[in-house]
Amino acid sequence: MINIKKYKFIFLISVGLLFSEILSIQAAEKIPSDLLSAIVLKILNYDRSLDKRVDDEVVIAIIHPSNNKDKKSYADEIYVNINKLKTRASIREKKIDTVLLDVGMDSSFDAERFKKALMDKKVSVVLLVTEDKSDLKGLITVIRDLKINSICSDESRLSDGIAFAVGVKGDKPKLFVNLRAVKLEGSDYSSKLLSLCKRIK
Amino acid sequence: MKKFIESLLVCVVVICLFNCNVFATDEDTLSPYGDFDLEELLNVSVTSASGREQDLLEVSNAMTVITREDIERSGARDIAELFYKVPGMQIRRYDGHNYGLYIRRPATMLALGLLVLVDGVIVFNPMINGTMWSAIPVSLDEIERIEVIRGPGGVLYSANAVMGVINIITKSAKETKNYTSFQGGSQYYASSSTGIGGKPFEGIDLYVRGFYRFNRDDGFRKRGTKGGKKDKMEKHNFGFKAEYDISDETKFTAFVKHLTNRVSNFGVLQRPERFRQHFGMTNVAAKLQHRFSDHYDCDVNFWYNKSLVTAIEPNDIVIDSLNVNTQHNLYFDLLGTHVFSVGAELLFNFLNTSEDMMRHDNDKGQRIASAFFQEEYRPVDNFIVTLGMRVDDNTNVRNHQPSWQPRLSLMYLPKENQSIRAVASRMIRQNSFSERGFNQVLMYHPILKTMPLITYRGTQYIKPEEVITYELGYRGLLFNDKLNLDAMTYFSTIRNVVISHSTGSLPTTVDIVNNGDLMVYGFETNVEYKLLDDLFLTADYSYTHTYENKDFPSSDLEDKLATVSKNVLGVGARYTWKKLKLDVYAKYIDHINYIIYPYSRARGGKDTRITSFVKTMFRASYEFPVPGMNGVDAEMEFVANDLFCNRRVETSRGYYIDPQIYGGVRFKF
Repeated sequence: MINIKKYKFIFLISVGLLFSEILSIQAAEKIPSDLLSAIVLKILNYDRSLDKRVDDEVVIAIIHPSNNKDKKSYADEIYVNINKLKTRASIREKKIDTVLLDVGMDSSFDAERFKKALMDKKVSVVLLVTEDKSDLKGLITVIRDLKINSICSDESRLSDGIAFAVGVKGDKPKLFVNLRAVKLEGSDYSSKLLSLCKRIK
Repeated sequence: MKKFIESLLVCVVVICLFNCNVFATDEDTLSPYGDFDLEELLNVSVTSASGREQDLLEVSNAMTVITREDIERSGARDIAELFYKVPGMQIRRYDGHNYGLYIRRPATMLALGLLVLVDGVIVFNPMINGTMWSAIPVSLDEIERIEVIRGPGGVLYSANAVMGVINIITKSAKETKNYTSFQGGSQYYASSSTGIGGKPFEGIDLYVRGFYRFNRDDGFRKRGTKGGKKDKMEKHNFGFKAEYDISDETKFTAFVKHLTNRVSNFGVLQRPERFRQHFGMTNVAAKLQHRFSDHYDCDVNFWYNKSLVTAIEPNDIVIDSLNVNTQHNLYFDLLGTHVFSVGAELLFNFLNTSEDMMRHDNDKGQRIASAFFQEEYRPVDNFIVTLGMRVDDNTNVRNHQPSWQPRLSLMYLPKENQSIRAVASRMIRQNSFSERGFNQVLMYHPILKTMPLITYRGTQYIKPEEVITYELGYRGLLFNDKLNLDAMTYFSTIRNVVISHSTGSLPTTVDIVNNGDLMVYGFETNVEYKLLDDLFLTADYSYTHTYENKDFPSSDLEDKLATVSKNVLGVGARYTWKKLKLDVYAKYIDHINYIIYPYSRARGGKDTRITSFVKTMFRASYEFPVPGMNGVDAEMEFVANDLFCNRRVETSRGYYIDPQIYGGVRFKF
């Protein structure tokens, strides 16, 4: 049996070092931003329509609602992670760029202004960080008019018209797809990707 | 042992002192996922705030899933120990290394009806239709998940999924997380393992993975032996897997696994040197999957398994098994959605053993031919009807009477995260070699080597067991998704129960006979509650009641019914604090039947005692990046199991249970 008294100082030092930093407990409520970013870049590689729709740079707009600090923080993390990944990755041999867009997703949504912002920045993919109750009708109409891919991190928004979602099922990431929305956006994803997705109507 | 712990402490201190940035966040590091492909990314474990059993909501079986994280945090040294947390699972420890796992029926090595698969390969022994848990060729570190079905497994699993199914799924060859680990502890436990995978050729979607694990320990002390002799064990386990994506729609998988395990065990004369057991198993398998369209896919599987059991050298029992099976799935919409599955399976078992071990029966082969279909119909989103039928034709059954096994389940999903299911099924357990009429000499006299001490004797007239089961179950997330609840109740009738009946004194012949009917009913539940963001509380409880329907000619069945634990309660907690993980678990098991070794019946008097047992498990681990090695993480762990056990109970072969304390380090790269 170990003589605890003899080794108590070693125990105390070890415990002290282990707990020396005040650590904040972070909840994993959704898929981590670095994993989400990596998955999004991989998904886009399966869209054959990007070959025709995009010249030499795929611009991903990360859209978050105004006045929501948590969502903005999450969107910022995704922005940082995609920027880290883009130095080593490409989408269908095209370069990657990202922009952050702050959009009101309630009655303050301005469709014309949003459309202009997407066109000016030549956005080809929209990654939505949405609030649970935000109204996406106007936003989705603009996205479909411009034939832009839409992806979000909340699978419940697929029934509103978003094409792809990356959620969590069990303890693993899960892909969800709305095939009708994919078609309306003009995308052409390979069956290999679609076979990995759960289909939402 | 003392020196090992001292060195472990020094390592902890040194690493902490030298690595002042152990708590550094990942903000300044590159993303670890840059080199993963999509399948690998979708295989990354994510801690979910909501129930981790969301996948199971639409499963019509009573299923418990043991995930990779559960395995790592369990502190288990053997695969069988993983099942303590499964409600309804009754685990008996025979000695230091041998376990019996039972679901809803008396403890006996024969006639279990528990199908055990590793990556689709049946690993239970068709000689006795039981599983030698120390002979399964799979490393704990290579298991990705285990699906445990409590109760009848349904029509899609192989024959003998009568009382339950344990489906062990190992890591995919596409899993590129590699590891090397070292462990050491009490009972002179030592273990090392490694697993490495990758994509050897650029441009070709071929993935390969290999693993090796070694472990040994001295086991437990045998009661009543001079100096407390132990059952030592040494195990080697390795395997190789390859997965090739021929096209977007076609995938080919092949693997080979091998295990060899030598155990110094005690026979009746308490002389371990003369009673070395040798277990071995080799699997070779290939699988082809093809997706024709969104409406049709199929797979074809082939596997070969060789198992070796040496009860006492040099009497080897070698069984070769061959299996070919196929399943075809159709998906279509017609007044709702349909998934229609149909398939067939051929299983051959060949017994290779010495002539001395056979008495009257020269037929060493068994063939089971099966066909099945299942229709899953979903008329509306929240209601599912599943109807299936399986038929098995077993040459071990007299006159080859086919076994028709229907199954019906109804499932209602009142809300998105809740489901209620009702199931009725009839299943037939396929007879083993021992039951059919093959006389198995289990043990010879160590001095008069041609004299059998224990012989199992079956009969060709034995009827296969029939199990009819009714289940009612609920799964759901409650209280703002904080409570994950799985509960069920069941009633089963087991007809033509097969039990063994022995004279009791040596030499003995154990007759295997049909012996009436059994009724079993019970309740099982499993609860997980998210108390804080990183603190989960768990509880599992099962109540099992068995009773016989007819009189029996001996007291054997009464003894066996007494081995079913009525009340089994487990409570635990899981806490994660950044990189520190703490897990505690305690299990109360009543009605442990403490049996003195059978030969003692000659002495007269009562030789069994009924008592209860509390099993405890504790694990702590800490993960940190290895200084100076980019991309390499290390996880140090400390485990203490059975610290408060009553050492005179639980093992039925008279072994003292000692606390198991060990530590280790695992490098991930």
